[in-house]
Amino acid sequence: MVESRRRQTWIACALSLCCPGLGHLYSGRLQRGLVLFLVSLLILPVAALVAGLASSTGALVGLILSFVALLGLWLFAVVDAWRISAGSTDNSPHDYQRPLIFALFVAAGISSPMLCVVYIRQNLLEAFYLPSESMAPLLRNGDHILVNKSRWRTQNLKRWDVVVFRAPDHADHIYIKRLVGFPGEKVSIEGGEVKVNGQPADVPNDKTAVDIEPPEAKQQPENKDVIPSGMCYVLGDNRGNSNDSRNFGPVAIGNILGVAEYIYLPGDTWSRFGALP
Amino acid sequence: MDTETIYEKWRHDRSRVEPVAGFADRVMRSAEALPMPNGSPQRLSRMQGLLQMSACAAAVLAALIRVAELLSLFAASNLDN
Repeated sequence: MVESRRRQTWIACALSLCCPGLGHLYSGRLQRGLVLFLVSLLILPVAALVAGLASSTGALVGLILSFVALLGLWLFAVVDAWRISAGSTDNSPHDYQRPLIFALFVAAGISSPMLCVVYIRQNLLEAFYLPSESMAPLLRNGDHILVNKSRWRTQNLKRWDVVVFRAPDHADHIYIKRLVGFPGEKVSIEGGEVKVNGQPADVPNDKTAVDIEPPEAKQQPENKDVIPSGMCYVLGDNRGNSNDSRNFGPVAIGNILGVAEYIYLPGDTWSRFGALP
Repeated sequence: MDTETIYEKWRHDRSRVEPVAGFADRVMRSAEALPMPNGSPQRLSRMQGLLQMSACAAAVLAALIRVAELLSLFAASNLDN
């Protein structure tokens, strides 16, 4: 049996701080509380989903703004819970106002953001930091990028996609390179020019013309071999300063973690913020 | 002399009797020696204040944990060359 007593404003505010909407449940506003709780729970995954699907600077801005919206919603929930509990004259108890239910909401409020972030990082978007110039000029030393890991993106890889993958020789090493060749194709580098099946390939952001040619040791005989099934050939844009398929050979497509989509924190100038071309 | 008059005279005389020396001090010492009941208003108010502050501090801590959890989305892992 729930005892009838006057609502305390500070309890309503504290509960809303722990979990948006919980202060409303305490104040007897079940519907509004549930709406606030669900919106605060879903706003970030939905924004991440849109950013994964849209692949545009606007979607990245939307993702960042969803953080601001979430904080604003949270603040609103606290103030609104305080306002309702202070002005409420109906203090009649409800069945859902039980310590166990409040404890469950507090636990959900604290654990749900972590679960959301873990889900997003494993399935939608993951952040990486570039400590090198191997993908210059597209990506520079110090850039922070978001990699799209969604299934519909990694299963539909396109030539020239910038992919993040586990190294074939060291699974704990993660590289970022440009996808150049698919299974059944032959990739070769002749005179600094990349050729796919013998035809010159127009590699985006190709920087070999201005860089030093890679050492002879990097020119492996496998370059002219056919890429095996389930594998792909990757190269760094800045081939004079890149450890890529010339060194470790073709990469298993299953080792690809995702496709680089956004620079969310450029290492040098903010003009490079946004979706990658 | 009727009983009413006798009573009034007794009451008047009684009210003029001075208490013995140190009477007030002994009363105060006795009162202070008595154990304070747990539910005294002052102590209850102090406990409520402490509880309120602890609950608010816990709520702020929970809020900070939530913010840190959300921001961990942008925590970047290092790539290799």
